[in-house]
Amino acid sequence: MAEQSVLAYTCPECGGSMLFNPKEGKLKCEYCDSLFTKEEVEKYFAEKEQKMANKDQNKEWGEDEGAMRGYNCSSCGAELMADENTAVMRCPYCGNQTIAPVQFAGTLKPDYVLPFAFEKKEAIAKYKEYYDKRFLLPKDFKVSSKIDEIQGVYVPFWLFSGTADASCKYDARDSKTQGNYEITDFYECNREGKIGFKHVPADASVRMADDLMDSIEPYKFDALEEFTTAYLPGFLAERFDVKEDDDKKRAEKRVEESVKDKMRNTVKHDQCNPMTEDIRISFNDTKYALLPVWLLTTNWNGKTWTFAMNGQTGKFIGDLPVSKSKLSLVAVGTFIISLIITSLIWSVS
Amino acid sequence: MLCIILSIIITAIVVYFCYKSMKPVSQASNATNYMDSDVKLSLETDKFIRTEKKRKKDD
Repeated sequence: MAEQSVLAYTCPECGGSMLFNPKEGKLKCEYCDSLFTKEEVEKYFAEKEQKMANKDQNKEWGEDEGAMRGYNCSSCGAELMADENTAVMRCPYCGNQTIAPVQFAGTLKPDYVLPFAFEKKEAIAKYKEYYDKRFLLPKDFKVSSKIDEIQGVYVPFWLFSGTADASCKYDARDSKTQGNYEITDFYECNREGKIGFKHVPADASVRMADDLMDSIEPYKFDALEEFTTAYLPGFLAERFDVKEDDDKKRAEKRVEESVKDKMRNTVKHDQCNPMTEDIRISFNDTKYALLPVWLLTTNWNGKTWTFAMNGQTGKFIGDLPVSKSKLSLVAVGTFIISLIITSLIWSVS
Repeated sequence: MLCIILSIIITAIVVYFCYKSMKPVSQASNATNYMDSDVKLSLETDKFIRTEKKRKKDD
């Protein structure tokens, strides 16, 4: 088994492990509370990282091991194992966050990273707030939630940019009433136009559910930063395992729907029904970015429930289990109330 | 009888929306947040076809 080099951001002052602090926007030592800017850390560790990268043998465990990779913790020397896509891991012996630089080298290097803006305690508070107001949630679900296991993850995304050309024809109508008559004017509307789109995201991780990642959007991409591993300590990270071309189809479908909506909105009549909608999408730029997500997975009633929070905007989402007894109560209550109301209306009229 | 049918319909709608509120995860169907605010139109024609005049039905 070949071991690969890892990078741990240890404090230049005391040697303790450092984590990225979303509030300060700096790396903070967990032990002596020293703060370092991204630039300071990059400068300090550039030499170390280069040395590690040179040592890297980039070998896998072999066919039988299912592309597992071995690393040595740079802090305590313990042997760590991770699958081929894991880029940041925590050493179970010393707790140090270690980064596998090989996962971010060459063509695997992301173009951008969107730093976390929320800390773990804020993510926990958002989760509690999310389920606290849900009447239909089973009581024991709250108890069984391992809320402390919420984890910040940098999820790989492809960001697609380009333009869409549209050529559409609509059947439009205007209606008005004149005395005892209803008058309808019919029009044939033709529209041709172009619209640009920038950074349409599509998650590039097989492990992340597409619908969950879509549901925590939107991201504000004006806060994107050039990629550097200095943002990673304190969080998990993965490299992409969905190819750009596979994600492109998803982005294309989304753009197409938006273009259709926007084109229809240019028709200023009472009714607008599309006759033909020809949308041609051309992608001219694709970027690879790591986006911040707080994730919580919990098991309840033999099923896995995953929750996600947008690490930039704080939008929290996840499907929740429904208590059958509470839902029945709602149904019976609604039926009785609506029966009383409709009966009263009926008797009055 | 009509009241019962109406109540069943109202109950079904309320139960559906209560259940849906617990399942908010869905695949994105558009990319509006990442698009230019306006379409640059190169062609915009509204051709009048005809007018239809119908007598309103008496209530």
